[in-house]
Amino acid sequence: VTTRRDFAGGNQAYLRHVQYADASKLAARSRLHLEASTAEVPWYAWLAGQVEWPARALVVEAGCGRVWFWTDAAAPAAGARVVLTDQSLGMAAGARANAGERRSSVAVGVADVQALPFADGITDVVVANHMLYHAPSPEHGVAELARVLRRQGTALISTNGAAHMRELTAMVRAVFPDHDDTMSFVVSTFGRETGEPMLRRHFADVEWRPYPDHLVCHDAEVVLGYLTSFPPAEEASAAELGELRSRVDAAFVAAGGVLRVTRTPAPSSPGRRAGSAVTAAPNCVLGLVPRTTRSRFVSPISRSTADR
Amino acid sequence: LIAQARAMGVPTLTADRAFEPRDVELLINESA
Repeated sequence: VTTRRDFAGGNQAYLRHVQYADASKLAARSRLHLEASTAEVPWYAWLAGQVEWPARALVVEAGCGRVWFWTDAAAPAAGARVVLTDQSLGMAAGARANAGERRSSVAVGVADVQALPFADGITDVVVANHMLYHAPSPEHGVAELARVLRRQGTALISTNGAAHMRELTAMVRAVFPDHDDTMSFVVSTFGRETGEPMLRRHFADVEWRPYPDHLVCHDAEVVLGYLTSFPPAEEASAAELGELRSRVDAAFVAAGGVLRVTRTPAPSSPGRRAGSAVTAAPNCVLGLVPRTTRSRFVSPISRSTADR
Repeated sequence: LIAQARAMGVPTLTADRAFEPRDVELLINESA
């Protein structure tokens, strides 16, 4: 039986060949966020806006998934060269297909965030979006991201906080009382509270930035799709699935048909390596850069080529 | 896995490589 521990770093074979064999389970989770988010700025656009993007930046993304960061944030290019990596061949192949016509500035490869195939300090920006909790050792992953980043480069790392999706987690816990809940494993492996100390051991400056959002759900099927996309409901029996459905339906009825779900805190952590200009700064220097001097973020992958 | 990945046009990048920026350019050109 697949467990939460498998999802949060313990079972790479499960992650590569089941959970991320293709994008279907990830898409089920994404659909809930896309349909129910109340954020003023969509997630990927907000995330991209946290970074000062140098011209002709060399960017590496670990755990690129289906490259939604690049397809949803903005459109194309400004000379960035991007290497997209994922541990899952299925996801990497999908990423390559999504790169489409923009492939002239993008390479895709299968790679482990704990053993990145790059020389020290060659990248301007590294991205690890909601993925370090899948690594057997998130700390090794953080160390690798720091190693390949140039001085004054930026690591854009995101994860969830302990309260993330707590209303939905409670439903799953009620149906599967013998399992620890997945979100607890995620946040204990590399979450808002556990990730920051790791980042501070490898980056000179770390700043947590909460993403202001909560979900307003109108569709019980979308919620069920989310809940059954990862353990333990991923392998629910017919009886367990029926009970979970009943609980979701009851929650919608009790809430008058509109279910509110906590998403915040879901912070990201742009970090900068040690550098004379920033090591003394108490906060990440990103916060000190006047907004007008920021490079406009432009994705090397056009949205139209991406599947969803 | 490496052969399967190659057949799908996705290279397997292992830590025995240490790509320099020029290698990244080649990698991008090869995948284009």
